Amino acid sequence: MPDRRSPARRLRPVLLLAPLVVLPLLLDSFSLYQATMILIYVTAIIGLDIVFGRAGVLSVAQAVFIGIGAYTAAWMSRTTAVSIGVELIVAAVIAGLAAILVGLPALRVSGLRLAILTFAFVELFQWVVTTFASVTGGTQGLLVNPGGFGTITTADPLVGYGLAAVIALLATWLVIRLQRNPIGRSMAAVKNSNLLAESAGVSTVRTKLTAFMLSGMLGGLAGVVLAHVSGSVTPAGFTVFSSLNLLVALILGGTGRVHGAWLGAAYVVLMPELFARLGIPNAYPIVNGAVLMLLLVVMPGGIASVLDRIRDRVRRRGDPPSPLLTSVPGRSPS
Amino acid sequence: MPRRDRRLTGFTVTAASLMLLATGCGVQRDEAGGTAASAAPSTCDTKEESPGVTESEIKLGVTSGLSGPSASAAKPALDGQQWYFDKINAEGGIQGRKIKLTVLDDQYQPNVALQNVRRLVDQENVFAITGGVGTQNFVGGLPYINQSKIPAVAPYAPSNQIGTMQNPYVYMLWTNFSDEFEALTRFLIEKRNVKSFSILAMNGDVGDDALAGAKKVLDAAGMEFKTVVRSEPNTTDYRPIAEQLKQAGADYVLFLATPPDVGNAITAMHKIGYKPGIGAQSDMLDSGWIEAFGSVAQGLVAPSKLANLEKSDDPKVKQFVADWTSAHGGKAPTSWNTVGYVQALVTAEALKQAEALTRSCFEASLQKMTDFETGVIPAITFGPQERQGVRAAGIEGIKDTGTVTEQPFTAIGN
Amino acid sequence: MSELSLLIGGAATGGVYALLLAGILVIYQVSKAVNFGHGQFGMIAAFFSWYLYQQLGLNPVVAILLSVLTAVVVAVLFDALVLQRTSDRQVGSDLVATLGLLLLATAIAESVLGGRTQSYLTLGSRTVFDLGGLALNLSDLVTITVALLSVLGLSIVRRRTRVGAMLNAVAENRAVAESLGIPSARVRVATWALAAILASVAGILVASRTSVDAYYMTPFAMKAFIAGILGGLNRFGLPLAFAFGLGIYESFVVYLLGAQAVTPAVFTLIIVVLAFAPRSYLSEGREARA
Repeated sequence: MPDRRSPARRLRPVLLLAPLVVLPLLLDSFSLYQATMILIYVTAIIGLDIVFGRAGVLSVAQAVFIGIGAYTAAWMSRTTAVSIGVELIVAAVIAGLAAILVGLPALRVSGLRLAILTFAFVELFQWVVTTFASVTGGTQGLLVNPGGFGTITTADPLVGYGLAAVIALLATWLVIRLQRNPIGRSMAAVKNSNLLAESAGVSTVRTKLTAFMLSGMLGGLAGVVLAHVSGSVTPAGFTVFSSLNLLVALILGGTGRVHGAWLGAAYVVLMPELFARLGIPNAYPIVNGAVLMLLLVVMPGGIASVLDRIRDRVRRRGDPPSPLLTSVPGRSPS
Repeated sequence: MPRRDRRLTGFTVTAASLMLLATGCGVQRDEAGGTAASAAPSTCDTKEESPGVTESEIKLGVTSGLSGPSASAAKPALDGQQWYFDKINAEGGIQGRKIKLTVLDDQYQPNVALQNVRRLVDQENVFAITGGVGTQNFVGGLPYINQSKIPAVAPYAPSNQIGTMQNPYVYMLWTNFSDEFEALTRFLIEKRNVKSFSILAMNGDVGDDALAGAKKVLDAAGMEFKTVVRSEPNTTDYRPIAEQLKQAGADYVLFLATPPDVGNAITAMHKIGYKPGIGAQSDMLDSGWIEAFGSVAQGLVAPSKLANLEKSDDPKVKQFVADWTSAHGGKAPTSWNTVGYVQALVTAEALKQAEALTRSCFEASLQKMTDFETGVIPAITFGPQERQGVRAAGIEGIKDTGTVTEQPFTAIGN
Repeated sequence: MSELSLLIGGAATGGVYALLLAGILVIYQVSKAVNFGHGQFGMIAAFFSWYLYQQLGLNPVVAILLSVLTAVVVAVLFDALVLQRTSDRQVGSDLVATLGLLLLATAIAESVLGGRTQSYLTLGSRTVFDLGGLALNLSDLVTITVALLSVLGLSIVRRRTRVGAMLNAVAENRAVAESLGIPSARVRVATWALAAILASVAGILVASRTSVDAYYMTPFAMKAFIAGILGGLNRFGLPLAFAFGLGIYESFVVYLLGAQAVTPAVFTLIIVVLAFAPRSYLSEGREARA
């Protein structure tokens, strides 16, 4: 992103934010709920993007972090009267720590084994939730009390929406900052090549752990809002397939791009809706797998990359396009 | 800390302190949704405005696991509901109105079910929710059922939370696993004179329920389990479980696990030459399961929620089977068809008896339902403080490719 | 006696892990991709053969041959049409593509079966010999034998034959292998076909021992991956030994501590290996991506 800031450029955030503020006033309550879900997914997917899209570590554990956030919120809302702010902080801390734990094998093994291990962590989470049923409610889960500040609670759907929007925007801001931050650049280096990154003085382990921690914290925040908006938590919401769904969303939207997460989130919420309207809701899971494979072949950068290309073509300023964070040089033969 | 990290740190600190600022005050809730929602009104308000009822139709909603792992049960159950409502509509409808079903598939996913309940309430404006199959999905939709106070009738969602005043808008017909195992164990002790039991129960709350139900009866009889084995879903090897049960050597082994796990565990016991009597939850009476595992499960006994359709002498059962068979080109109803039929039957009955077509009158009508006989399930009684309409079960045994009645419907518990 | 019985049962389960893992390893070494959808090749073979003999009334032998062929075709097509076209463009896309395969195969089987579980040809799994209190099961012996023979056969092929040499060469360095005139594309097709056959054998053996549904192979594939992590994906003998060992380990954990102890016990094993194995043991020998 160029640093020169024309007035139009400065106006852009305002133009993008306006619909977020106006939207809830126009939507009926069901659509408002869906808009809230999109915003929750944005936060969760940005978290996944930090670890996968930016640091290049494939993780299917993102659902675990959302689950940790959701269960933390559920448990706190049932046993304490603290505000949702406390819940968010506690959930972010716990999920962040859990994410570091998931990333810890990075100390000793490379990315591939790490990726497989994230699979195993999802199993462990499911095991913990079903085994310690007295705390977690077991397979039936827990009902969640409304959360909020004082008398303003998520029992009002607008509050849930507002909360989800603020957190999604914070996450978006974080990831934009990250792009220009040395930590973000270390991630890009690690993603390209562990060896090169190490030789350039970047600690791959610390970078990966940071990425995991940030992704876990965002997952945890998303989980808190999710728990309050949906009113219940069950282990079935946080399986390997839930994680895969997020991954599909991210790749479809576009990895390593800020708007990729937003597009992906819209896809996972609105696509089932479309199939439901067409009367073939069970086609969605099938389409999901096929779309994932097709996209990787046809549109590896996701929808975002197509939009970027269109934008660049429209502009045709002559200045070279910024190098895409996602593209890497061809795999070198070993 | 290196300078380069400062901006990010600054961001984190700002965000955290913003949140902390907002955390100064706690939260005040007007209802404790986790413990008990306010009790449903039992007084009928005929003037109340209720959605989903027009001069010509009554809109009802269904959310059910029509695709995914529960599809093989949910689809035929939906057929059962649809068939009965069609039949009623053909006969002139209820209170001069036709029933219109809005059906949504939740894929057995709690989050999708929640979305569906919201859609049924907020977009489709249905009058009530009827039927549906699957516990984990239905539980996902529960918070919004409680919040929007929409009555939900007879979901097939056996659970210890549903059918209690904890969820006062849900009117439950189906016995939970605790009751099932109480009935099963009592039958085995009193009628079969069984002297020793082991049990294999799924790890988690559902298994705990079954265990508690069976233990209650054993305690009363001064008996103990020879061994209690817990199973996990995704088991790759049933041998060690079978070995544990074999070592304990009980005359009867009770099972509460997913139907394929039960089938696989019994197969593993046979492989090592251990063939005790088997009791299990009612799911094993499904014809699909008997087809898959009948060869190792001859003589298996299970509590039954439904009458034996083939062999029952009850005129109501005979009538249903005859009507269904003639409407389906000679195909007899399956147990899931029957589940759907009963779901629709109870919803329709409550609508018929409602003083006016408002939600409060519909609920009052349900709460007045006393010893309502359907023939295919035990008599149904709800009350102002009673949401579990049925607390009785029969016992059926697997014989060849079908089942035989070992004990007719009998009340459970005190 | 029950210890011996547990050992045999555990080894049979471990044999299934090994059959799956052998395919995962050859694919990884030649195509540089971890196939998350690998278990579903076995599911396809078992499920499709069930469909052919049970629903269409085909001869079971013909049905099994046809369905193994189908699994092979699916595997080869997946590699040619999806994986080969993605692997160089984006980090981790190979893993993601195989996840797509997992999702798609599961969803299709689920929509056909409706989540229902089906019993499969018993193939000797109900035939029991009683040797003085020790119940020996034909299917266990068959599974262990098939798994051992496949693993041994594979390692002989790799070490002693021309095909094996070509396979090793492509696995070591594709560019150099090609410059030596080795048809790397054909070698790649062969490895996918071989892996699909091994997975099919595993899938059919498991189906005959238990039952078929859309998901039944996923826990087996999961365990095969764990054995792969423990033993190293760039090796061959050691991870396969871990596969057998994992089956036996689980068997004894369930017997001694209960089924609910398996997940934490397997985790403990992973942590112990990762924490105490020397770094040279854990290195992949090449920079792995994902």
